[in-house]
Amino acid sequence: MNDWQTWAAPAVVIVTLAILLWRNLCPAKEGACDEDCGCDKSD
Amino acid sequence: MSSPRTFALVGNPNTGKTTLFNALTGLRQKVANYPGVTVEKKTGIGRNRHGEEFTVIDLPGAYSLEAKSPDEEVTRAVLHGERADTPKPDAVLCLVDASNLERHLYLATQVMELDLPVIVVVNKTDTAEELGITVATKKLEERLGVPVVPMQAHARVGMEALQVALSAEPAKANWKPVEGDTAARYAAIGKLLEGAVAHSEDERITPSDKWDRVLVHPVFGWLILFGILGGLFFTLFSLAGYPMDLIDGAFGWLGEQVEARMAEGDLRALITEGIIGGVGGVVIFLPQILILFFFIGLMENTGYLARVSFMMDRLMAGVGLNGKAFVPLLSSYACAIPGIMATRTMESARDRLITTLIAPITSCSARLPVYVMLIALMLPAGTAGQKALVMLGLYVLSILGVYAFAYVFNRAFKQTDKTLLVLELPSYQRPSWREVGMEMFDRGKIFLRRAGTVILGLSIVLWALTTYPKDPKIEKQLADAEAVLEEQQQLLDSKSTEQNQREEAGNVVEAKTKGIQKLTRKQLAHSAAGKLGHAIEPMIEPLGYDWRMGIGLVASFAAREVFVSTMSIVYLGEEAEEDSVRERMAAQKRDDGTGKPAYDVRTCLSLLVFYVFAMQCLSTVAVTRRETNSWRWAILQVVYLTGFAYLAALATYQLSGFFV
Amino acid sequence: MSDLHHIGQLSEGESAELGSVELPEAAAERLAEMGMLPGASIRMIRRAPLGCPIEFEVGGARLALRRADAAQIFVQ
Repeated sequence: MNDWQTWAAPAVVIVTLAILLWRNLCPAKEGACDEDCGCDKSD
Repeated sequence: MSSPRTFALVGNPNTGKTTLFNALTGLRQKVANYPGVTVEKKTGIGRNRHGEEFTVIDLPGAYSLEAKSPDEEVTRAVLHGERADTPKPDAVLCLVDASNLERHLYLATQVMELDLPVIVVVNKTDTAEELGITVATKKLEERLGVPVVPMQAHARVGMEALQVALSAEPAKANWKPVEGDTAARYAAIGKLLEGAVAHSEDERITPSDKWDRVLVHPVFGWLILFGILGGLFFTLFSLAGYPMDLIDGAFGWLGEQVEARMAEGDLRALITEGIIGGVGGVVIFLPQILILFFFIGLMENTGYLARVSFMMDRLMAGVGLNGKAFVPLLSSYACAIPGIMATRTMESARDRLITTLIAPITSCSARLPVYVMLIALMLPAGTAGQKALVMLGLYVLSILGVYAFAYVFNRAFKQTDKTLLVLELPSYQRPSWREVGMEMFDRGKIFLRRAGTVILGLSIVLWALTTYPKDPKIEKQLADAEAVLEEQQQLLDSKSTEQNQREEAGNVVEAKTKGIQKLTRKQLAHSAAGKLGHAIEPMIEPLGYDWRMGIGLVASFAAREVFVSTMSIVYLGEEAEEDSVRERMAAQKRDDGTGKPAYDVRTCLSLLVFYVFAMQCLSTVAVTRRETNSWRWAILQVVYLTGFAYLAALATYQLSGFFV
Repeated sequence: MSDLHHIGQLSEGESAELGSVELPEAAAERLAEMGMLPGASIRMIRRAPLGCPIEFEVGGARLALRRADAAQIFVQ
């Protein structure tokens, strides 16, 4: 068993959870558009 | 400024607006959402004769600016500059249909009263000619003082003239605002068109009519429709298998590469089982999504889709739906995600909501692996015919469920005002493969992005649930066993080993492999998912399930197809061939000590019924949330469907006790 | 002249002149916007294979309406 992997994996899980919760519970953060657009505020 | 930066494109639905939009913008298009509503925002970039770029906004189709649907409301609001996210356009392209000028000018004249420069595009002049209608566009140009461009957007005829108009100084129309109601407006339009439009006298039978005689025929119409649907399903469930196998292979290969380059460990497991396994499980549906949108796109592009709604309306009206719900529900048999997205074509928010809520009851393709596995367990000695019969029964059950819940929701959501169904049947036209292709590509992208991001995250979380917490004692035992295994494996691989050593090594390898499988299973029982399985066991016992199936149920709540791979881990401790998993499950005995099989007919049936109804797809929940703009309905979906699944499975298990 | 009352009673291919529309305001307005005004000419094209809805031709466009709604649209 590789030692570094043993803590790296849970770290990834926690980051993922954080992202999931943040995206779903704070949609205001996404700005005026939806995740659909390849949004670049060029015009 | 000499030429406008932003043009809005407005017109009735089904006018060929999209075709013109594509002609102006080519591939430089963006599809997004107007915030706050589930209306699509389409923008693109075009180039005029001076080489300057301009923006085109394809506003949702509308019959009038007296908005009666969310789509029309957006069009109205944007033209009035009322939307913070979309500034008022600099000029408007009004698309009207030459064969029905009066009706189309209703909206166009409303736009002309908005104090915005206007260019009028008179489209489908070829169809009009077939009907014996000629439009003197030059006369209209004189009267209105704005460019009036004849066009056949389909064939790209008239684009040069349009470019001239787009590159020139924009002008406001010479149009006096109409005072009064619809009749007054039509009267004013009549005056405008006096002497500018000629109808030929003879009654012509349009080519569209000839097609309709067959396609909407009381006998042939149905045969053709079922033929097309049959073809669609055949393609979806058999032909799609080839690309699906390819994708499966690709992900499998990817997993092998990672395993070869990374040392064994948690992170590697996370990557291979969690990420590759999880994302692969979704991407594998891409061929079906593409095929589905191809068929639907083709039907819509040619105008046939309206005929389908026309024919199916009666069947849907009985439960309070209308014909336009047919295609979204049909699509949901492949996958509810594009099905729910397709409800955007329905004007009534209430109808859209009901359709969205019942869409997951349709037996989507993700359930197929589960059905196949459970049916095989249920009828180990059964013929292919018997198995197919059970499968058919499950589909019939789902159809009944759709109707039943449509009826329930129809009664539950009181109708505030009776909605009027006005279905416009556009004239048929040759399919534009380019447009169909572009639509297919767009939808595919959206599917991948949506399902992929959510499922990726959830797969990782799910993997964590089935891995942590770990029992350190078992970990130690696993580490020891693996060390021995590797040692013995090396002996087997080495050429210098003698025969008796080789035999012994072989035995040890076999024993250790079995031991490791056993330990992994124990580790699973120790994990959060395992504990959850044990915790819900009392609740699911009346349904005929035990804690191992409980783990499968818990795990597949994110996505149904996960059930199969989870069962593999539960019974073997690792990813394995489906046959060996099934053998294991078939051999599994009940925990009550009677020695009877765990997966008997009653339990299998109960599990199947559960899977028909349960809401086990977090991607669908996510899409529902997005399309309805609130969590309320998404949560309702999960609760009512899973609750009903529980009761139905319970009833199935208990009642079957009297027969089996 | 046959004694018709509403457009749902027209037979295939038959034309008539529209009279009054006895539907709720929003619905009546929508129909008017689409060209179904008193005095306009309307022609019945066909019924759907299951009897409902009914396809009409109004002002060059093909519109399908349900039987129940058509029953509230009268002819002159």
